Amino acid sequence: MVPGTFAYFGFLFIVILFYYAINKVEFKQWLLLISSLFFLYFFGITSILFAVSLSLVNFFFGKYAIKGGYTFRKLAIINVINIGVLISLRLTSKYHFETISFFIKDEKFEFLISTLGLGFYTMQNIAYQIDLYKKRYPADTDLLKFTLGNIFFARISSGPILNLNSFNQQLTTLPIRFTEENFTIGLQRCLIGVIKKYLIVERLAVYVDNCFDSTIYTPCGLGVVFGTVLFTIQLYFDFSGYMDIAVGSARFFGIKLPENFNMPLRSESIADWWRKWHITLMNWFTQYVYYPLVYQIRKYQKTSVIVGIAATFLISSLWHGFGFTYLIWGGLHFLYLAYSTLNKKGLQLLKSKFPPGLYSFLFIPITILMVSFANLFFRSTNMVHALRLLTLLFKNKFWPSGTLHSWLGMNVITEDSILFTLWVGVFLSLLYLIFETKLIKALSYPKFRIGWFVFLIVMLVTLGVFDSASRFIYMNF
Amino acid sequence: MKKIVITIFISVTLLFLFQIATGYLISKDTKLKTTRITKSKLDATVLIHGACESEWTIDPDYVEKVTGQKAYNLAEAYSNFSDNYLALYLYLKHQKKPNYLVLQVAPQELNRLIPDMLNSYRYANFVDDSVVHEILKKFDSHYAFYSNIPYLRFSYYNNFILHKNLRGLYLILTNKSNNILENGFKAPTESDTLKDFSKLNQKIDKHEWDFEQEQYLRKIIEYCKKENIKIILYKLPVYQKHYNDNPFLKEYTFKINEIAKEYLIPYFTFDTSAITYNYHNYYAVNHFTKQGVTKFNKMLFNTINDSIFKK
Amino acid sequence: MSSNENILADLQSIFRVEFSDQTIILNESTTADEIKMWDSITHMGLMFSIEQHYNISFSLDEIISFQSIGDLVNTIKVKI
Repeated sequence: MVPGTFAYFGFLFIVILFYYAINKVEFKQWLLLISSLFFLYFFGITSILFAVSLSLVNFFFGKYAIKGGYTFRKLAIINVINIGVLISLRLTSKYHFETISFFIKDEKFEFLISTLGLGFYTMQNIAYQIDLYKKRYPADTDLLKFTLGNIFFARISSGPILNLNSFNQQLTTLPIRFTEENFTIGLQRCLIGVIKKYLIVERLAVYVDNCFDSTIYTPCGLGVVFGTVLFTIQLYFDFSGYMDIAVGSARFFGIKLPENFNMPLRSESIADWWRKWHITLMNWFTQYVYYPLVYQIRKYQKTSVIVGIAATFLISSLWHGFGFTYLIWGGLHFLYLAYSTLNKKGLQLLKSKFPPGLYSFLFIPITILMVSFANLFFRSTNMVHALRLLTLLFKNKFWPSGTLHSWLGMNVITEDSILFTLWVGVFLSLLYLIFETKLIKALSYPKFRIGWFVFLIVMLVTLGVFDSASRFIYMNF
Repeated sequence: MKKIVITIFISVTLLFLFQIATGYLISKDTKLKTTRITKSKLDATVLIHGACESEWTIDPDYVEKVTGQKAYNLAEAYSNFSDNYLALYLYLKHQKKPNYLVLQVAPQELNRLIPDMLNSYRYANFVDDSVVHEILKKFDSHYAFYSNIPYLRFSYYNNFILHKNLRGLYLILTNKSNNILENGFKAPTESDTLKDFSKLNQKIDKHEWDFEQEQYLRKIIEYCKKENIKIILYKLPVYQKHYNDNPFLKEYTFKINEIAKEYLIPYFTFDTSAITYNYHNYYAVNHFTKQGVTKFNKMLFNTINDSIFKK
Repeated sequence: MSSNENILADLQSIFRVEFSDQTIILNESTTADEIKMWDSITHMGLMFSIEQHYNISFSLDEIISFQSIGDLVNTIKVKI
């Protein structure tokens, strides 16, 4: 029951019906908990087991640790458990099991043990313990709400990463009545999420999958650049589409989840990118890794910042998975950011020489290219695939010649309609990106407008591609 | 609540209108064979059928030249026997009954691990037909389910359909609808040549006899017997070294031959003919180049003509 | 004891040096969103300069929790 599928929305609909049939807030919480467990059940009983037991451990540990004074030793113990579970499960994932060498993994993360959302709620639990240690909040007294913060079905698959404390406050004030605003915003966010998924992501996959996964097709250099940029766009639509569904689903219950994206494809620099991309993850790293570390060594000025960035991206790449591909991805982002930190003044000077419009016009594409180059490693199944793409990129002929089929490296027998579908996908994604500001504004409009919903529904049904409803890319983490 | 009902009502109405429009457009795209066989009169006495190997190899014009019989090539790419069965069913429903069916039966088609399939989107316009619906339900239950929702019968396979849809529109606007793929043959072009001949020696690691497809092969044969159509099975021989390197091909060919014997029908194989030793005849493991196509048509139809048609 | 205006003026000159931007004008409601260069990468360096200037020391939680220039001014006022 992957978010975005027919089954998911059927499930959501039933939960909403029950939710507003109940009048007491506490029963509503129970309903959300039970339906979350039901949702998790579809990803294997082990998913329930880990999510629930880790919530219990963290809740009771926090509750009792705080009594005798929350010492650093206690913090260390609980986080060794949290991180230990995460690492050991990542280590037993299929690819790693098959090959210790980092070089051949068939598919990224086919877990031997299914644990949906582990990476995401582990982050929440670690943050909760650190906050207790720092005395930022009192210990949570309500096990029900605490567990729900970890396993709430709208967000367990891929975040957003919540601050458990402020989420719990929302749970105590769940709305009794279904308001037009919650319904409208919830529905339009869900609709735009599936539109992104079925209209764009599925179409771009036609070329992205060929470019990255096949060893037979040999695109020219420009074809590889095209493929990696397309992947960056695809990942954005995939992940933000998932986020739309998560935020929309939660909104039906009157719960406001934090946003993860703020139009990242309009970033003018890599630092800008990381303020707009996967925001809740980056906030977590800033707050629990970067600031504490840099604070300790802040007298070394720029050096401390560089060390902080290095630590952040090292941990971030390990969090995404144990593989050279992720290390290189993190390493590249580290280099980008370190360079811009060290040359801050020079870059500032450069910027002041351009008129603002022209600067954006030049540096948005450059940023996307830099991010895409790092994503070449992020997406590649293993180093063999990444090196193959690098060879195609740098050693082969860069500029295209011959037919479109041949410079995209696609098979001669590929049907015309497949290539056509790719161009439709590219066109739709550009259209979305151009009107993104307006669309985002429209999506937060609280009144139900018939024409707008008819438009969304008809777009979805007529232009969607539904035959390969795959998982969301970020559900692996 | 009223607003929601109005929204749903307008959306559904629009989608139904679109469904009618798309159905019409696709029924104009004569490049799609399911459209072609239902929309124009073909009058063939020899019907060629099978997967992509057949579609891209057998030239009905040549057949006519050699045997004097009018032929039509019904084969389509990536199709398996259940797909073939449906196409044949639609053909017989709309066209004059042919005297002969020349059906390609290749061993790799009965390997369950090589993905030829039922290409449901080709039948999007016919999902209301009970025979079509039943087979779609069996092989593509998701699609059969979604096709009940307004318009989803088309958009479910939008990767294919949207293109056909617009191509139908283009054909209407330019009035070209009558001369595309007139005989169903999609000839290889000059550029379909192979530069890396090592690709001809592909090793197929896994194989597993596909009992379900065997059932549909039998269904086609029995269907023809019932309709009194003479059925002739043939196989497009693969490059010799590939054939020798993959022993299962021989084993499967033997099994197919047993089935043919059971029904007392001929099965032509040509596995050791001269054509299979010259790699210039191939641009892929089981696809002929232009010169290979010419040679093979000659070989196959001289044989069929001599041993069957003339008798 | 300095007044808010004095602290604000000091901060403004520190900001201008730190971000090499002479056009920065601060008031108590200015937030990090309004100054483009002010992000998590530059934040710690800025805090360190302020600490040096007044010879005070912020705690980690104080540094993380500054939402606006007003917060910053109030915290500094207590410490000097």
